[in-house]
Amino acid sequence: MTITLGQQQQLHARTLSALTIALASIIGFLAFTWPLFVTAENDQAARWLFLALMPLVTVVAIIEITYGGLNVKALAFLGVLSATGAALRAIGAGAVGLEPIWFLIIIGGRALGKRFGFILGLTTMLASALLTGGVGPWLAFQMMCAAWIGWGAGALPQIRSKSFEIILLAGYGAMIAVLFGLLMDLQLWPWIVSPASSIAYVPGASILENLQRFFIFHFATALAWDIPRAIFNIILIVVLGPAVLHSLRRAMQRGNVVFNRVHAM
Amino acid sequence: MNRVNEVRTLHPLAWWFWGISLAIATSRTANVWLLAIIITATIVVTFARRSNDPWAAALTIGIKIACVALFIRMVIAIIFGVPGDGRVLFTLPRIRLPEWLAGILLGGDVTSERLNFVLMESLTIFALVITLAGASSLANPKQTLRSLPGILHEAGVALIISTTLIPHFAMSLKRISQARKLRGDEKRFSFKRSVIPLFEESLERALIMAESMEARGYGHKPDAVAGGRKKAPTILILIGTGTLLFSLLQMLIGSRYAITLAFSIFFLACGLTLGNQMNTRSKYRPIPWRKEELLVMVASIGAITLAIIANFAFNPLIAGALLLTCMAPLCVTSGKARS
Amino acid sequence: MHGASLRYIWQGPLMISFENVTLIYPYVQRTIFENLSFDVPEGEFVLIMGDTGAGKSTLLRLMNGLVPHHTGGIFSGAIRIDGRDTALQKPRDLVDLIAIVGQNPALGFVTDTVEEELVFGMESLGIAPEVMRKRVEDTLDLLALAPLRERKLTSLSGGEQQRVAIASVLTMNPKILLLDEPTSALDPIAAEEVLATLSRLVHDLGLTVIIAEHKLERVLQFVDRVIYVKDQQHVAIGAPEEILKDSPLAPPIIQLSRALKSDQVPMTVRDARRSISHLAQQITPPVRLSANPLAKEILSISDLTIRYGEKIALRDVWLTVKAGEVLAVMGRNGAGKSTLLTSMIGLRERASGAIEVLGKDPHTLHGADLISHVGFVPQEASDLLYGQSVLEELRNSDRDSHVPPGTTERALFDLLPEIDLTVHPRDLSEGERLCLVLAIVLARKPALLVLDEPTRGLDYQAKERLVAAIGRMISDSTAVILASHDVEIVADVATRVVVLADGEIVADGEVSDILTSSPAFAPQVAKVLSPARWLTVSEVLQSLGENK
Repeated sequence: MTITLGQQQQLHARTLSALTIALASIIGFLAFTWPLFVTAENDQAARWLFLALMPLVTVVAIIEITYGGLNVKALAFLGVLSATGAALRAIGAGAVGLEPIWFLIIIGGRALGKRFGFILGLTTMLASALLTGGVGPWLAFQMMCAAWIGWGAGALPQIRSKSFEIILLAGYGAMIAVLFGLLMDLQLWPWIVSPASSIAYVPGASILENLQRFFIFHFATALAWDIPRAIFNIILIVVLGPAVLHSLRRAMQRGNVVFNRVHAM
Repeated sequence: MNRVNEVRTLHPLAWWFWGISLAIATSRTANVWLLAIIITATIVVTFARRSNDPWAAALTIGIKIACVALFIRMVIAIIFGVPGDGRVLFTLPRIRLPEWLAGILLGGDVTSERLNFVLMESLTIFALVITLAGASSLANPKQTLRSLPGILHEAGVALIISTTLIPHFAMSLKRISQARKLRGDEKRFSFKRSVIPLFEESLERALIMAESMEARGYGHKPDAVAGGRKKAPTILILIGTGTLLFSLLQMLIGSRYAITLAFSIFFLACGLTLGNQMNTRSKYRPIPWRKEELLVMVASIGAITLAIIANFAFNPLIAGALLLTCMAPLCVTSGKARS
Repeated sequence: MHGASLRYIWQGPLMISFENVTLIYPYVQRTIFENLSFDVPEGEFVLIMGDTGAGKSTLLRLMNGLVPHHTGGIFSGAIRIDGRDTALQKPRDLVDLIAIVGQNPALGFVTDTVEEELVFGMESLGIAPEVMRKRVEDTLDLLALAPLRERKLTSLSGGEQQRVAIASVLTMNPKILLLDEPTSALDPIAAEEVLATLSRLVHDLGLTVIIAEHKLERVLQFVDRVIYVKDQQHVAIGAPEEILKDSPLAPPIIQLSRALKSDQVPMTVRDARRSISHLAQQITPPVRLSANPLAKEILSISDLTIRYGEKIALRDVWLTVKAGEVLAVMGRNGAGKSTLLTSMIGLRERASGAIEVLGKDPHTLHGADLISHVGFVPQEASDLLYGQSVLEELRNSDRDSHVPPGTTERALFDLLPEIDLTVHPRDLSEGERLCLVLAIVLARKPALLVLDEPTRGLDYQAKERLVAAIGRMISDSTAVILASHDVEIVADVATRVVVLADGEIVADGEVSDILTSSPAFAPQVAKVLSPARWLTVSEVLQSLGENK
């Protein structure tokens, strides 16, 4: 049961906006991975350009989903769910990656569809950053990552059996925990690793060589966060997932209206 | 209302303009002195003008994050060193890595030149984090959301709802955890027993809120724009995004990309402006954009220009001018920012 | 016989007209209304009354189209609001005509200050800034909200929140205002304020105001017309006297009038004093049993002071409660009632003083040990619920309280004989949910039961159940404490009343002493029959029975 975003007659416009979001996501992906295959002469340009363009494409994605395309109910759910996520983020305290925020984005995306999951990821991150002072160059990267996570949860295949669905989501939760760590590290890599060290990226070097360096960096720094995060996601999804998923679907169940004009005489 | 005696602060978007401009200035220079000026100016202005609201802590958090980043950077540079000339401070045992990790060095000599280089170069990151954190300390997030252009109205409303509710839900969590005690629950924290009631409460709230918004005309569209709207901006934005991707790919493979990049930004700007003009909502008592805000804008652009010029000709005069432009908001505001 | 024949005949301009309306909610497979027809004329103050679950809220929400546009459902027939068909127009397109304020307005607030909330609707309609400015000022004046314009919505009292919610829809200049239970969460004074405001809107601006409310004693004196929703097929509309003459639902004064065998249908205390008070001259109020002075002491609070930062919430409170007592704690919002109650379960840090329940400090008690001493039902009773079904809740409760399986279930069946155990707790009605929480709290048989505002949102029937439950629970080894604004229920169950103001106890005594001496707290029967010290209709009935 997904929220119907927008009206039927705007289907055409929606295809266009889906295309834009896909392109924006590709740009986002490049913004994470550019150090792997940047050429030596454009190294500095890529560094700053991607940093500047990431917020821009994030805003474009937000506009494409929200502008005239969200009904009141979806909007209220978006606001309330991202507040819940941000409130949970506060209690998770970020200790060793134990952030219940991912759980909420996954379940939200799963119950309300991939498009909603995408925007939920964006707004949850943004709202909590605005209130808790987490605004920095990394924000747009985090938002884009969260958006993909929400989208992915909605895009996973539909499964009838409730328990299999939870297993699937738990597996997904573990996977994205690792992937999120990987992507955020990738984004951090060119900034936090000084060129004066042997695990910095080398502009113009082969992808394989750069990947090797990156993984050393990743294993050395962030892996310790990924594993607890993955385990935490699995536990939350298994323990709370069925109930929360059920409640969300129950809340969305109020659906179609039938106006029966035959009897109205 | 009499605004004369009030504390003068800036339009939230002016604060952001200032912060982002300083961040851009940061990116345009590698000069240690200029970076130090930008950092100092940001910290002075922010501490002088921030309020007591929760988001005002952003700068303190930013400084912490930046220091941690600096520290990690140093540690990495020490452990994974690249051999170079210079005075050796100390030597770490060199660890041999397996054959397939040939290019990576672990341990070895640590020279003062290298540490110096890493530290100086880290100032860029430091400045980048601080300038944005400064702006987010100073700009009231709710007023920022209220002043967003019409094209971001929906997203703004969703964010207004959530920023309004976050403190509320934090209180609900507290209330719920107290309630657990009433059932004889002895555990200190239980996700199931805290998150589920919170979640149910928030869903109920979402439904009520949706009704309340609907009943107050939210989403009402005048007949004139109800059909066929949004097409033109959507297409322009699509072209813009496509061209942008193309130009970035050009850049990555090392060919010329400036013209396509300019085109893509042009298309995006057109699309966004056009979309913005189709907005039918009105704004109640918008925060005025006065000459103070204009002055800060001019000064911020000035700071970027000075940072670029300083790359070619650095002298104390330019440094002084940069400090002055960065501090501009301090001169046109007074007291602590109002929440 | 279906609704069609109950059409009210009226010659003037019609504001709302229902024509053969039938509504079915597909998910619950239940017909909500069948073939309903009635009209509401312009400029009237209309009350919708009926039992909980009869469909008061649904009827209200049908009028502006939230049902079925928002909730889903199968709808047939036609509803016209000032000639416009609600099936063809969404609620958001009808805002210039009809506006609704929900049951708990604080939950519907979108922004966080009064002024922003007032303009939210106008901004989405794209009303010109100058017009907005003017309307905001007008509305602030009309509802006396000007001093609050920059206040945070969360800092407002219940009555103020209700008025802000009304203001936030009035800015769009509707002709009809719908309100769902506008006074049920308010103390008597705030309720009076809100109702007076509504009455002014009807009289001065010619607005049509329709409210659904179950506290009939508060609203009847203001209304011109009553719509009585008996069940899905029977909806009556008429003058208040006509409808209330023999409706099973009636406020205390009308019950009193019936008890005294008068054929008058008094709407106000003044009417009743003139028309029926003389009928009670012959009988005398029964003597209320006071607590046994030798009974065991259940709770003792000595010299308690509680601070929140700078603010003193409770100051030097001394209080003892003996077994067999039902103590009502009354007072304005913010007087410290909740603080006093929650301190009894050790949830508040004390600045000084001591609290003992059966000789033990609740701060030192944990888990099952705590709940065998004190059972607490918080204001938001559903905070205690996290299960996916009533059955799961019952099992969790047995486990938490270390009682044999089935204990909580028995406690629940005592309160609510016909409850479906497979239902999700959130789908229960307010009253049913309270019963479930009560059952959970009572499973361990606590010596002291504490209830914080238990009657919010309860109808007469649910209140009777609550009164019965309290009656059953009270014995020579237990005591009950409840905080409430609801004078009628206090008159019904309490043996003793404590009045708090500004964190201090300002009165402590027998129910009849306290309730009859204060105009704000006096129940209707007491007002009608004063100076004789009557409190409830059942007392009158009891005395009449004895007299015969």
